[in-house]
Amino acid sequence: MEITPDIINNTLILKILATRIDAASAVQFKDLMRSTTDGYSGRVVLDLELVEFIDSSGLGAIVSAYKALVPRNRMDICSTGEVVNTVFRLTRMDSIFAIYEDVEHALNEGELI
Amino acid sequence: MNWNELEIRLSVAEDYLSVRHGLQEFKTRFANGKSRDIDVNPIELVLAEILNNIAEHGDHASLPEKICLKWALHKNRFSAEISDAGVEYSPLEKIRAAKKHKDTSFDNLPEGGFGWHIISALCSDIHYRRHGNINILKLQIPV
Repeated sequence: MEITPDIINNTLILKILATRIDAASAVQFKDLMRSTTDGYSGRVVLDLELVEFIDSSGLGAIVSAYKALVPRNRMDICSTGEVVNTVFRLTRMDSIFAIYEDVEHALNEGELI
Repeated sequence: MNWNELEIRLSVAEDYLSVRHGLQEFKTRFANGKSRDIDVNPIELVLAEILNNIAEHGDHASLPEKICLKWALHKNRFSAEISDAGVEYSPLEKIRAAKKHKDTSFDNLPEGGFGWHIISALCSDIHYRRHGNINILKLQIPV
């Protein structure tokens, strides 16, 4: 797993280069998120375009990374697939995170999916 | 009814990598065995939650050497039986506890406990019993 950071319009876009965020990779994900966002103050968008599967451990790792951000920093999510959407919906985490269709919609803060 | 069977061997505590490989094997066999188009995503999600839960809750002394997964596909449901010789667990209590937590304020945002939400939402039936030192969980998922 890798995370590639990109800053566009004062927003830190983090593209997750992995097909799964699951129990086997949750710790690595949290560590990578911590080192990538350490000291950053501003909005963060997680680009999950490549992520095909997430389980409850992966979701917990995303929540943990969100809570570890500088207080009151926003973390939004974009480019989610079917399984990711299902997990966020069933756990009601879609009411915590704004989920956008793609990076462009996230940057424009357009309509949510 | 034709039941399929797969064994997932756990070599260390929290052996999530073996669970991941087991799920991959399950998906391959499920895809080869099914005769019609069925969305495997909810099935993989439920199995992942249950198998990881078993792998998580065995310390070195109580770690089950293997998890046995049996499954069958019916007209409109998927049935599975998951058995292991690990520590006893009580899914219905876990589900009740997970449903109780409704505080989603930032400070109280949970970082765990989502698994039983997912399992209860996707399964139509869940039955658990402890037989001797064996956990046996039976479930059904509408397809």
